[in-house]
Amino acid sequence: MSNTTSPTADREIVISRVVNAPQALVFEVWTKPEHLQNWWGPNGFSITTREANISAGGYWKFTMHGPNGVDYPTDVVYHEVTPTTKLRYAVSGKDHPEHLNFSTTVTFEETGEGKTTVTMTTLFLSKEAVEFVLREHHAREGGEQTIGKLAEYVEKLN
Amino acid sequence: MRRDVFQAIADPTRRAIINMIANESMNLNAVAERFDISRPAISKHIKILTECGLVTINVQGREHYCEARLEKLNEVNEWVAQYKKFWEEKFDALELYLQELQSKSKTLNQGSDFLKSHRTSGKTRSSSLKKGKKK
Repeated sequence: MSNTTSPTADREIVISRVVNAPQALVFEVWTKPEHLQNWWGPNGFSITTREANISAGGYWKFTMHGPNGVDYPTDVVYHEVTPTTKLRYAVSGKDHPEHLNFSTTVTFEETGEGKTTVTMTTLFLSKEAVEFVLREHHAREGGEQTIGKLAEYVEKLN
Repeated sequence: MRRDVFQAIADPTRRAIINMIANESMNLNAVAERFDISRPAISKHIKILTECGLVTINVQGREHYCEARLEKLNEVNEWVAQYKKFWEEKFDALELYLQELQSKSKTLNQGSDFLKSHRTSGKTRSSSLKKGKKK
């Protein structure tokens, strides 16, 4: 699940899952709006696609409709679309500040018996910023549990 | 413009300011003197830090003291945990959707190019219909 060799490992969030479907189909449901809108949004939200051209340099513009009646327009910009193995994109939206426009890479690997391993890697902060958070917390909190998840997470990756 | 802890720690000067005042609060002028950049530039960084909730200013007479609020850094951990939880849930939804697509594919194909092309080729998909296991 974690990538121990990547130079960016300490600022990555990696999520991996083996799904029971062939690679080409998994890639398709990640790259076609008519499929994406059936699973991508937060639970309880529905999605309407405004415009889509999912290809390298292209985009998927959609609006998420929250259960509270609030709309969240969101844009995904694709930097890389390699059928049927890899995607790289950034997400932006009105409640999604510019500095949180993390670059996300998704890979699709065939794992036999019609199954596919999907691995999503999100770069979320600079290395310096992560080190800073860890160091300052240790200094002030004396290594208390507040440092918790991030420290554990980074140690696991290194 | 939205301010949060990520914005605060994204900049090296702002990180240096927080380092400097992490253990004891400092007069704003004293902070500015330790940097080579202009006083207004430092003031602006400190203003951003206060807007992000990482620094509070205590006014004592004519002195402005900057105090670090390091507990704000917890939000980074919380955010990582939330993000992971959100995407684990999305992967659940993805699995469910794929399962649904493939079981309907026998009769409908659900508009999937992949499934259409594979139905006509007569390839059996029964092995894909078992419930997927997490991880």
